[in-house]
Amino acid sequence: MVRALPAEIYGVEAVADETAALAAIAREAPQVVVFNAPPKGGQDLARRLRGSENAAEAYCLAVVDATPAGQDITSLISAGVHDFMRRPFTDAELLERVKAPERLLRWSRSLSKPRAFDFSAALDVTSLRAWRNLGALVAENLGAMSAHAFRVTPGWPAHLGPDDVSASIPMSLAGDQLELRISLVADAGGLTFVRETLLSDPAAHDDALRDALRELANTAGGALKRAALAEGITLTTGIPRDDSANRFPGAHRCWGLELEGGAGWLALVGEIRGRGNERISAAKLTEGMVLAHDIRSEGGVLIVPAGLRLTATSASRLSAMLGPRYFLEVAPAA
Amino acid sequence: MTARVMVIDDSMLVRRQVSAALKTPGYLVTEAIDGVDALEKLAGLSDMKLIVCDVNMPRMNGIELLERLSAQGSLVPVVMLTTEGQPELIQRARSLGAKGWIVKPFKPEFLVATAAKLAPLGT
Repeated sequence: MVRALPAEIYGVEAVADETAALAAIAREAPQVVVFNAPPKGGQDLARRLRGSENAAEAYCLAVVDATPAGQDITSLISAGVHDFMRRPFTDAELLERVKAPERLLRWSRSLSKPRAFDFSAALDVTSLRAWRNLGALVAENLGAMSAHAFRVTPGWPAHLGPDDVSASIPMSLAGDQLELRISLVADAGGLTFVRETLLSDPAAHDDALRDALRELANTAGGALKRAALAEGITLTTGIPRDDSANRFPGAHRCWGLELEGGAGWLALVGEIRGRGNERISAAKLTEGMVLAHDIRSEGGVLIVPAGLRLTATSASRLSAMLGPRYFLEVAPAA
Repeated sequence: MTARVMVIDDSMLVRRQVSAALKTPGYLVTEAIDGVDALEKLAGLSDMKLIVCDVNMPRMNGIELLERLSAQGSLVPVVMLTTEGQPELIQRARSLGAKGWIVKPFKPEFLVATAAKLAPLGT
């Protein structure tokens, strides 16, 4: 089971019995508990696990026998189990079952809105913890990348202007018709940091500098993406580029990232705007577009998942596979 | 003895950092800027022992490259090095034969340890 859950996503602690499980739960509140439900007493075990204060809010997944003779699924559910899985199961099934609470989180968030049950309501990205903490998230990632510490301050650093070197990464939530952009702007000290620390080349030319800044924007986008994923939101990342000068008219937030010792600054800008999807023929798919919905075969088998950002290779392959009479919804290329 | 490693990333900075990390213990490094460039270069190199590959790249991304290598019956181990962390992508890469998934920003010593395991120097 540990093998099935990617360590990059899930911090998994495996224990052999109930005593060890309760001790682990007491040490750190789990978000998901997967446990082997014995044919007799599975519901009592579930109640004891869920009875611990730290596990009261955890998503509870029970593993039961293939033919659960004497095993009452109903009583497991009434004991607080959210889902169950029959043995034997595959790694892929376990992963999908553990991902279910992420979808539930999304669903419950929509329920908590004033327009409950309105699934067409726009997602409020600004309410995500990942968005509110973006400055700290990016500072942590840049620190890991460079072994330098950054001090985070809210707001735009006043000495930075529109002519300072910048790079951005576009991101999209095609299903919610939203586009995000994360930009980084560097002052002279920030550029010296990029040259000397990241490139190890004090004479690095402009192309190398811009490439490095694009990679920093990419790292910032990756940090936001992974943090949003933990809150049930899957963002699609584009290719980083240099053109952050034209600001979105939508919601934005800024942070200053000051290098240790005041050696230089980077400004971080997060922007969000609504962006309508297009309904187009598969023959017109092009690089950079993002699929707004899953593409399935007539038998319902998933061919391509929603959120895929098309490369030239995948756009041409999908066009050939689906043909000009197949219409689909896409977010335009950023 | 040495071993040849291919580094595929559209960022010059990442290619430079990965190359520097792997050249220190003695690897020979060949760089490519995306999947298309990698396939062209791999066609002319028969001694490749390891591929370190980004996921998000223009023209042909890392997952598409894995599909092509898998279809060609390539036995060269591939490690993905990316800012991505979606379980679906990781599962897809694994099912296509990828041997590892490292999230950026990466620690050079971890990358070297991974390379040493999959493509030991001196073999």
